[in-house]
Amino acid sequence: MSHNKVYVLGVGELPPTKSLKDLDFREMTFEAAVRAYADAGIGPSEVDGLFSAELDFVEGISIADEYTPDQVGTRLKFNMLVVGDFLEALFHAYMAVRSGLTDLVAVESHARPSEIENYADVLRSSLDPHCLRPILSDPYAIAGLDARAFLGRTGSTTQDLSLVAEKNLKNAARSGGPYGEALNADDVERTAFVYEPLRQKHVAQFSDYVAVVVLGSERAAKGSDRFVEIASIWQAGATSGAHQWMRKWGVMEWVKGALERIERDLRGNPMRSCDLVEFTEFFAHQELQFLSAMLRSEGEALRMLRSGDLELGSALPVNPSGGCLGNGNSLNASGGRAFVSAVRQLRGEAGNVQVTGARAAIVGSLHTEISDSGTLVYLRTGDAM
Amino acid sequence: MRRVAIVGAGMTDFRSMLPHSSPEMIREAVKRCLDDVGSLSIRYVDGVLCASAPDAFDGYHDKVSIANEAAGAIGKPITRVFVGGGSGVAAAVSGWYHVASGLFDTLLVVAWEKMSPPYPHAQKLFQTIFEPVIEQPLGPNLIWIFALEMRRYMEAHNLSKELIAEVAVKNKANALDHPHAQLGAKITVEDVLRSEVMVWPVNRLDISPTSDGAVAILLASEDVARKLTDTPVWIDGVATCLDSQYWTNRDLAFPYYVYLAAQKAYRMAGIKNPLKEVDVWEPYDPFTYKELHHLDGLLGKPGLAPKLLKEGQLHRDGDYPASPSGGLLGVGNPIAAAGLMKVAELYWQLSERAGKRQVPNAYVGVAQAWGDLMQVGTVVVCRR
Repeated sequence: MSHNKVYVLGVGELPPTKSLKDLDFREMTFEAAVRAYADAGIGPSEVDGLFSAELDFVEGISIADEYTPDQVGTRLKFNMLVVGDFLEALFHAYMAVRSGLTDLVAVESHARPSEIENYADVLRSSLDPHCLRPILSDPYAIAGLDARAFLGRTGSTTQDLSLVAEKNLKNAARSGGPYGEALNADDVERTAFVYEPLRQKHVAQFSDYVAVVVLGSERAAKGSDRFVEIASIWQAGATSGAHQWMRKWGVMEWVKGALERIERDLRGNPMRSCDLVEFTEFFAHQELQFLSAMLRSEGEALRMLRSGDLELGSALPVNPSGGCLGNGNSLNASGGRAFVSAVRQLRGEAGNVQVTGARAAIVGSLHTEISDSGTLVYLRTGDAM
Repeated sequence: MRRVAIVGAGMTDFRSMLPHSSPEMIREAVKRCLDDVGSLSIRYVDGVLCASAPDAFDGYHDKVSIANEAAGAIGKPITRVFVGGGSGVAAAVSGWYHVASGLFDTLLVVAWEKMSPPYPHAQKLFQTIFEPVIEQPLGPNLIWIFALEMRRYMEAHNLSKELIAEVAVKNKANALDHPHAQLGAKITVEDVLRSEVMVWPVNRLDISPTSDGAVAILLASEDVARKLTDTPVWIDGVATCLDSQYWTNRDLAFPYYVYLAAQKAYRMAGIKNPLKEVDVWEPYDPFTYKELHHLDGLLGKPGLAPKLLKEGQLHRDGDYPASPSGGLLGVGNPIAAAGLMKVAELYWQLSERAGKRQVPNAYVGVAQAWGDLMQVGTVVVCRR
């Protein structure tokens, strides 16, 4: 039985900013939707429905999807709120279009961490209330533990994490990311430990952001001359529940399952045909963990990092946008920023950070900063693969 | 489109202060569901979709993390959807496209709610669903706005409190036959009218209870379904529809969003005349008037449901049996789980395993839920 192919027909965003203080969350969403529809060359009346990715405690409102239809122009249409990162909502939207249920849909996610006064408390409340919350005043300590496990097992050092930070901060300085700066690894190494072995510049700072993406079937894509195909997408769950006691530390186990699925869909290893990678590295070690899992070799990921093979202009640019370290941690909207960056690369619209001849990209995002679950997407231009 | 079937279902008791944690409820519902499919191993299941309403009920941020292990889904794809009270049926809609897309051959759909722990009452948490600038400062609660809607509905169709109270009498009586029901009872219209006035015209017995509970169903593609069971129940139509958040700008007399969702689901299922073609209805009934209000939307005829109720047609032995399960008024209302209970009821009815609740000759059924800020309709059409 054949299923619809799924294409990205339009993207819209408000670029990541340290604080979008002049715009309400509804105004942010409206602006991004207007840009996405203009990019797709459609009006909101043509869209069948909406998938949004929000989290109650981050919004400060329960059932946040109540507020999306008016802003996105999807009143009296299909609606589904997916709790988590943007790419998880994209996964749902992909399945809805692929199944034939919908033909043309919007996917939305926004975050305003600049307005959250107690984010550590919010994130801490995702953990087991008996065993973990009482002992973890700051849940980012979990990232520190995970980084420690990764460094210990692979023999890598904080200098390697600083190389990741150097690369991504420099890329962001070129792309216009709010945290971009021309630091070298030694500068990064001189910043203070915050969650040892993670230093200050190994941790993404917050940024406000919103993305709206328009997906459509072949029928909806007809006539478009710059579409990007979602060739494969898969979400994979965690190795542990809220208590974390079964978690496999220092590795991204979820990537294995997602990668196997994408290999099955593509009948080949996506890393061999991909021109760039965008990944939501909230902490520097996560980029190396992700690449290690994607390459099925921790040694190879480290070798590529140390030899500059992950830089813009090299064989496999990773986070040419500057990633989360350079663009900020936009919470549940972070995957949207990575996704929009990758789409712009494949359309040749990435400006100062354009990867020459980019025809296929991998985008990955974590469910949340401290989760060991995530979503993986393989994108390609119409004639790639 | 790839056909999708429900091949198993299971649920916990619905209770206030159920002495189970959320993971324990999930585990029990999932076990009963898999046992229903010949003690199927969770290893056979490709992924899990969960639904639960506001995070505040469990006191967890991003509470999918409490479901993965409880559902046996470690390492499996697992995501969570929710659209407030519409979540349970929305989960079935979402589960449908998981399987219909060809990405999943089997999918466990599990919904739960733990409403008892909020002190002194879950109602306080509902204030966080209101618009933060204009509405929240007024300190609204759900009963206020539903009272407004009920009043408008009564006005539009000249309905009496006595007639609407018959929904509570019917559903609580139906729930006496449901093994997991919280509030099955033989009551009278007088009992409803004499119960405490919460916000006029809503009396206490017009309202479903706060509840704890979980429900799970197993979905499968056509090929797999035929291997797993001789009595698959097909999900042939699905839809959701979300209206504006600005509920004060809408005419509350008719749930247009439910109507649109139903029309889309009927088209998918090839149903042209729902009054003639649907044998069993499970409309969302958190309040007495809501069953009628939603049935009006599902039938596409404003004011028809009260007439059918008056004629006794909505009873289990009537021509249009509505909430034969006992509904939220009788079985209970653990928000997301309540909606999925309605889908599970269709599975039991259409596979002729509803026991004392069985509606004779049930071939086609419709389940519907409603939520967000009185603005979303979620609908599935199932067929034997």
